[in-house]
Amino acid sequence: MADAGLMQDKPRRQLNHSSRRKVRMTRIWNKNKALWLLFLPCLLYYLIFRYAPMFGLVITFKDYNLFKGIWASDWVGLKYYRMFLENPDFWPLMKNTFLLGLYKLVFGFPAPILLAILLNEVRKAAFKRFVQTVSYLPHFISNVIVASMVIMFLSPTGGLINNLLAWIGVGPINFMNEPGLFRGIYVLSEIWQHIGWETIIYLAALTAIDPQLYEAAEMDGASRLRKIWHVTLPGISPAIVITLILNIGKVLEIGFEKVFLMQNPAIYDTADIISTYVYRVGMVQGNFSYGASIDLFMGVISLIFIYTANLLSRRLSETSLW
Amino acid sequence: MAKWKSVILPLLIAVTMVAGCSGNGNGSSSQTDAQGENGVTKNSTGTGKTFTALLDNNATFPYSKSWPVWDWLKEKTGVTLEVQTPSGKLEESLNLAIASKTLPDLMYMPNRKESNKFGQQGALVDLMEHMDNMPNLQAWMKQYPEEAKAALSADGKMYMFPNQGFGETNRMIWMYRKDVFDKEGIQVPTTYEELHAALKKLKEKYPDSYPLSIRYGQIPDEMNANMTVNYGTGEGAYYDFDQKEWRYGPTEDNYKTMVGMWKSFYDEGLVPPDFLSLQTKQWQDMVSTGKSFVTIDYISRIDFFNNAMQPENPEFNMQFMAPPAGISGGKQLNPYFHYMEGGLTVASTSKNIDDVMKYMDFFYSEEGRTLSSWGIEGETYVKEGDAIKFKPEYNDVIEMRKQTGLQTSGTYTWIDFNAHLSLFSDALKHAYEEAVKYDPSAMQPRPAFTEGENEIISITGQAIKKHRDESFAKFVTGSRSLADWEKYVEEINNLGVDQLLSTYKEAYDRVLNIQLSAK
Amino acid sequence: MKSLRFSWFNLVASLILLLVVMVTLYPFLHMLAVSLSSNVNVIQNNISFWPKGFNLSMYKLVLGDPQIWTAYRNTIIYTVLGTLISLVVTSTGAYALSRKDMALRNSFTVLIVITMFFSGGMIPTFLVVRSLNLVDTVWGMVLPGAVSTWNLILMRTFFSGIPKELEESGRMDGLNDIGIFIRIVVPLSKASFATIALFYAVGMWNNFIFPLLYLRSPDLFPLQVLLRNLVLAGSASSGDVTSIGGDNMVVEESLKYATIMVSTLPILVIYPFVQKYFVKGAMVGAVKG
Repeated sequence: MADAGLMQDKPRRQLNHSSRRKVRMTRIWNKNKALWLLFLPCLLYYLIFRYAPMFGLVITFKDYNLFKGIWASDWVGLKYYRMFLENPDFWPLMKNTFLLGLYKLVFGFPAPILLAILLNEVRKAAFKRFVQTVSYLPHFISNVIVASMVIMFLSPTGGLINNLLAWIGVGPINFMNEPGLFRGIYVLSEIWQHIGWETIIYLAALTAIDPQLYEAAEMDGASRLRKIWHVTLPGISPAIVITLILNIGKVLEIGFEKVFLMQNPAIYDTADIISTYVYRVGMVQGNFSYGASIDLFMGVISLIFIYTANLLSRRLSETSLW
Repeated sequence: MAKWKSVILPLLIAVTMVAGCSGNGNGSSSQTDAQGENGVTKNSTGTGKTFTALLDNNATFPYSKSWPVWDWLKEKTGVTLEVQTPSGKLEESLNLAIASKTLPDLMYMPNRKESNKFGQQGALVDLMEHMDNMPNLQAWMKQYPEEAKAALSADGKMYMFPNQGFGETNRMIWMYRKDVFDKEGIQVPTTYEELHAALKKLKEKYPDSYPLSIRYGQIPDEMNANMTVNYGTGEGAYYDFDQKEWRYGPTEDNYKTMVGMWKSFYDEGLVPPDFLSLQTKQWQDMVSTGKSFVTIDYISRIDFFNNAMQPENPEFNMQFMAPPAGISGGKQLNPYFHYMEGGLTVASTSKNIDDVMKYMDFFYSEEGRTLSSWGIEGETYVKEGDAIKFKPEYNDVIEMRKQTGLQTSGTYTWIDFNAHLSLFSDALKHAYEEAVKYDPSAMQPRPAFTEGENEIISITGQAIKKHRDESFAKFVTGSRSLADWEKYVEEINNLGVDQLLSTYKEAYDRVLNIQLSAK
Repeated sequence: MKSLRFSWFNLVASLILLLVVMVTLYPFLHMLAVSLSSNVNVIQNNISFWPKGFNLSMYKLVLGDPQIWTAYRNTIIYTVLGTLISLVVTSTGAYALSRKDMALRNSFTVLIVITMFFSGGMIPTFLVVRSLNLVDTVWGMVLPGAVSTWNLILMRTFFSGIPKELEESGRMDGLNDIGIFIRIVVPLSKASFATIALFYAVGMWNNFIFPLLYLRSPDLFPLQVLLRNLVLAGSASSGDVTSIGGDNMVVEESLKYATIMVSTLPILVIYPFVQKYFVKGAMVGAVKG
């Protein structure tokens, strides 16, 4: 075309911001469209089933009338938040919830990792498979049954544990009556119930470790323990770190059912947590808004926890959630 | 990042708005009924009407469409029910039905609190406005004014159909192993002092036993009620009919005496050391293996234990025991538990309100009562002179209900309890006859509360209750000395006992002033 | 076969594992024994790990319920379909998120993590699902739980462990990201697919919340609804009592345990199939090969 030469000489100034921007965006689009396409179903899921219902969070500011619906219910502002925070039990409940979650994290988090590593060291495949399968049976037992099992086991009038203690001459201990023992009992029951199941992730991660690394370590004369320390653990560290961050975010999220079933008034000092308290209040009041406000409040705190954990992880290691 | 704002945010808003608008259905007509069938009224052949109903489902006698009771009801009233049962807890299904505004004509609700709540939110019909359609119910209310009043909400409306008669099964009584007492030559105690002595003697003879055990860990509120009523006080705010005022039990002297008595039971090993967390199974074990000889529980447990244990141990004999009096010279009383809190309600969005009213009215007639209790003459029962008896193929209550559908959710309001009594063992019959002698003069008022009052009760009331429970546990097990009693009273009063009492008083005064006349 | 050398490590490890087995197996055996024992013995609580008064009455009760076979069928449909859908949506999403060069990666991750802490609640979620006409349908069971954030993040972690060289070799062969995913990544990630599939399958198998919210017709009810109702009737804990007192049949322990067996054993049977993917170094050969 006659003008071709003219276009070549166009000064750069005339490629203005908007067209530069367009070029940049087109490039980004082209580069990412395949990945975005892969991500699309997932994104749609979250938008539809997780974000769309979030309009429901507005009931924490309303006196929710089920029949009239969310929009038509009366606005009450921060009433329910205030009701919660001004409750004299607020701090004890928060403390109990936090401590229970902390204990669970400190003792319950490493347990499946250790078990997975031990299993990984087993040579006989049949034994390994047997232990694996058996260890996750408790995961399938409902909380209702686990709680009643625990209470029965620890009963001072014929429970298994006290019978064993009697053998070695220790007087019957009324376990479920001692506030100081509750956290330990709860955490142990959680570990028992979930340790086997939680090893599965780590077992899967262990399959990705290159066996040649083990051979190399062997040639360097490493003992079993050293191999674990230098090959196994680093090999599954991304899985460990991510799971740890996620668990830190869930520290305050203690399943209500089991604690409720295992608590009794003698141990409210340590065993009454926010969710069990909300349940008892809700039974009388039957108002969703109060419970929902507390959930929202706890959600904010948990978000802060996970944000901090993620930040630390980003600074200190290569792995992080975001 | 600006990019995500321009892409994701509008998408989010769009989806939220779409969901928000359609989700709060303005009677969205495009929705098919969540029940899986469309249409609310179907005229079956001729005059028959069909109503939709959400009923509870008890796994002991699971809902069956082919139950005879439905045919019998249809014969007498022309009505067929299209029944929906909850896929989980009844309360959840109710919440969802109401939130989605697809309400069945009839809904069974487990207690007055629920029905009053939903009624006041506008979801239910005020039955008082339809009394003209229900002559039987009107006459019934004159006969049972207390039961009728108990069904009223705080604003004087009636959202739930009242009931009478079935509550008898909810009685709780003291029970004892008559065979063991006889063997050891122990007299039946009438006071707690005598009880204490009897338990001590049993402990001497059976050192491994814990002669008295109750499943406090499973049903603490009911147990508290029993214990306090024995001592002439109450487990929380209660109405003193003699003094005509509301009092708070757990700070009274009688209550302190009761705590002292239970503490001595605990210290002397007369109750299991873990009775505070004792669950049903453990308690069952103890009673059935002869580790415990005295207990408090639902009246039907008499047959429960006797039937289970007598085949192996024919001596085993669990019998009714009169409640011991706590205070010397005090009355021997059981708490008033023989009422039922649940019932049917009618949706305000129903298109068949008048017909539903006429249908429900049937249950308050003598004919309705007989049908709900006994079934059909010749088919399920026969008349022998003045007495009615079930035919022999129905030899126990559970079988009877399972096979006929009688006394299942939604099939009764007014029951002739003799229908059950006739199927009970002699021991249980005896227990019922005796139990009546130890009833309190009147039912404790359970006034309906306004929302404001409910809030006080749930927040302040819960804090008080928690402290009461904790303190009881600590006093009895000894972690807190009874010498601290005054301090405890002060603590609990500071949590707002006065406010709680005045709330109850206000609600109760309101109830007293309500007239039951139709509008 | 390696020569058996004595090592302290082996001894201690074996003892610990044996302890784990005892502690987890005994309660299960006990439950199995109780479920097979007669009422009288159950009430007296004299069973340890062998049935006394062997009878199958509880199993007859549970398996004799006319609805149970429909319930089993439903559960299997929901589990298989649900797991497939979840695997597809989760794996594609997780893979995309695992590519550090995907634009908006962090923003998406944050958005997703937020949903772990905030939720609209049961009723608003129900209203959304209802507005999509999914109530009382198979899709109502299978779609609302299609992605679990936990599983998504785990899978992302697995995918990010895949070496970049593989991705590059794919690109050199002319594949785009989708192609790389399908042809290279998926075949190499058998262990992670197996793991996540197991998690979703078990989650769907045990789920009783979704039926509670989204199902109405009894012939769509899965196993858990039936079993839960069986066990919860008569249990006065968790405030589930809808009528108090004498009207509640006391549920035998044996019945409760029988229902656990009935609902758990099928899943236990699946696990061996999954286990074969947990073989060491399953993925590694590809890079060298």
